[in-house]
Amino acid sequence: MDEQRPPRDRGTAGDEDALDRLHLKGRQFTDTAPGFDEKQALGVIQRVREADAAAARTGRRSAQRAQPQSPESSNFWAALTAEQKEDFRMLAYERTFAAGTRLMREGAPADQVIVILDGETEITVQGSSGIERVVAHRGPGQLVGERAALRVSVRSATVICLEQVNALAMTTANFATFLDRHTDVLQIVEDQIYERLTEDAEDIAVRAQPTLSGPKLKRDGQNSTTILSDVVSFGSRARNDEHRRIIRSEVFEMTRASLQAVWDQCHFEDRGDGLLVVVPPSIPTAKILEYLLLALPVALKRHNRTYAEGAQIQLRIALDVGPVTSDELGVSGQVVVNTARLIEARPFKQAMDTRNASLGVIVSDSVYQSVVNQVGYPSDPADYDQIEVDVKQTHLRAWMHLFDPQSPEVIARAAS
Amino acid sequence: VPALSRLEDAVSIDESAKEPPEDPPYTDIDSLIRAEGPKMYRLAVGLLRSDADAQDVVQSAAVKMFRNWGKVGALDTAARQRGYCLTTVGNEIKQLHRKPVRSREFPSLPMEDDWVTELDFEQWHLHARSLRKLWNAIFKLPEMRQQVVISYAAGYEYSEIAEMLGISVSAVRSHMSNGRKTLRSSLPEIWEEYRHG
Repeated sequence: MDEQRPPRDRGTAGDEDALDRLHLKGRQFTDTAPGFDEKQALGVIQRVREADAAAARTGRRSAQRAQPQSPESSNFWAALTAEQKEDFRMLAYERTFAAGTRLMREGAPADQVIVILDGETEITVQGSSGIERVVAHRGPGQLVGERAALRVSVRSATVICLEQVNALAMTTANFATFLDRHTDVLQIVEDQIYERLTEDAEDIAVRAQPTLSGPKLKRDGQNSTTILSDVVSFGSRARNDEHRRIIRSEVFEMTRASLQAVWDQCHFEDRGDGLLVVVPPSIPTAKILEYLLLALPVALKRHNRTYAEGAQIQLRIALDVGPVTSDELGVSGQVVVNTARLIEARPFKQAMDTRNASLGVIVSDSVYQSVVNQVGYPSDPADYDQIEVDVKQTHLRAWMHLFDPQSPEVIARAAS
Repeated sequence: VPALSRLEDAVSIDESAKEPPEDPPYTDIDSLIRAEGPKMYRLAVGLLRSDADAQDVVQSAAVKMFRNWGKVGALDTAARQRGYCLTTVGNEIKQLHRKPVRSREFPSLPMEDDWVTELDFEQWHLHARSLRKLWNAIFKLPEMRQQVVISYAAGYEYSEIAEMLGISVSAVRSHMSNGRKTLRSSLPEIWEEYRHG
C-alpha cells in the first residue's frame, strides 16, 4: 500500500530513491514550464506533408527532401538596389567554378562570402555518423557562406557546384564593410539566416539521403584500381535540376550496386557529374571490370527505358591502375590524373556522341594488355578499339569499348 | 499546463473497474497531436528541463509518428496510441543526447538542482555520469514499463499515468515496483548514492 502514496508523503527523505528524486524534480519543472506549442508542431507536420506531396508529384521518393523553393526574400541579389549591387561588385571579384568544385568546406575557416550569379550548388553537412547529407540547394541570386561570416569563424557546411557556377566572391572583411555602409542589407541577410534556420529545422524532420562520399581509407601509394565515371552532357540545357538530381543519385546507386561485393572497402568521391572510386589493392582489377561490365549496361538500359529524355544517362567510365596516396582532402596520384585525362579523350567522347552508346569504357594500355587481353571476359578484347589520348600535355595510348551503340545505318536513318 | 492531480484524485479512481473505459483511437495525426501534444510536451519538459528542447523533441516525435501513421493509426485504443507517443518522445530524447555536444550533460541535471549546487565540478561530473547510467538503464526496460517509469520520472503521479495509458493504478504500481527492482539490481551503487541524496 505504501507504493501508492506519492513520495512526498512518505515521511523521511531517506525513503526516496533515485526515481522519486527525478519525479520531484520533474514535477517542480513542469509546474512552471510554458505550454506545448501546438501551432508549431502541427506546422512541422504540415510542411512534411507538403514536401511529400511535392515529391510524389515529381516522382521522387518521399524519403528524399523536396528541393526548397527559393522564396523571393532569399534571393539576396534581387533584393539589393542598383546602387548596392554596384557597390557590392566594387568590393567583390567575379569567379567561375567548374562543376564539382567545392566552394566551401565544412570546418574550414570562413574567409569569404559568395553570391551565385549563375549555376546550381548543393549544401551538404556531415552528420555525427560521418555520413554526408544534402541539406539544401542554392542557385542564382543566393548568398552562400553568410552565416559563418557573420557569426562564427568556421564553415558549418560544404558547398559543391553541381554545374559551372559564375559567382561574385567577397572577403568577409569586405562584406563587413559593405554591411556597415548599407545597414538595410544587414536586415536582408538576417532574414535570410532566419529563413534558412527554419529550413534546417524542417530538414531534421525530412531525412535527406546520404550523399556521395565514401569512407576515408588510408592509401600509401599501393597500386589501386581507380575508376572515374562521367555523365555525358550533364550540364545540358535539355536537363533541369530535377533531372540532374535523379541522374546523380542513380549513377551513385548503379555504381554502388555493381560494385556491391567490394563497395564497403572502396574510397569514393563525388565529382559533380560522376564518381571517383578507388578500389583497395587487394581486389583484382579483372574482378572490378567484370562487376562493372556485367551490371552497368543492364542498369543503364533499364534506367533509360524508364526515365524521361532529360534524365537519361550516357555514362563514360575510365579505368586505370596505379599508386594512390590519400591525404586529408581525398586521394591523389598520377593514376587519378590519368583517369581524368582518359575520360576526356576526344576520340572517346566523339564516338560516344555519334554512336549514341549508353555506356563507354576506356582503359589504359597497361590495363588492356594485362587484364582485358588476358582474361577475355566479360567482353571480348577484340571489341575494344585502340585510340590515342591527347589531353593537356598527356599523351597516352588507350582502349575503348562502347556498349549498345547504334549502328551507323540507324543513325543515318534518324538523321535523314 | 494542466492542474496537477493530487493524492485525492488517485483515491477517487475506481479501482474495481478493471476494464478500461471505451477509448476509440484517433483517426488522424493532427487530432492526435492536438490532444496528446501537451502530454508529450510535459513528459519531455519534465525530463529535459528545457522548454526549447522539449518543443523540438515533441516536433520531431510528431513527424516520426506522421511517417509511421500506418502503424500508429492501426492501434486499437487511444491509450495505446498515447503509449506510442510517450515511447517516441523517449526515443527522441535518447537521440538528442547521442549528439556529441550533448553527451557531456544529461536530462534532469541542470546546475540549479538543489542537490548539485553544493558540489564542485568534479562531483557534479560524477553525478552526471551516474544519472546517465540510470537513464540508460531506464531506456532498456520493457516498453510498457519504460512508459510508466519515464512518465513517473517526468513528474506524473500514478493515477495520471494509469489514466494516460489506460491501465489500472495497481498495474502502474506493479510496473513501478518491478522497474525499481530492475534498476536497483542493475545499478546498486547508483541506487544507494541517490537513496541518501
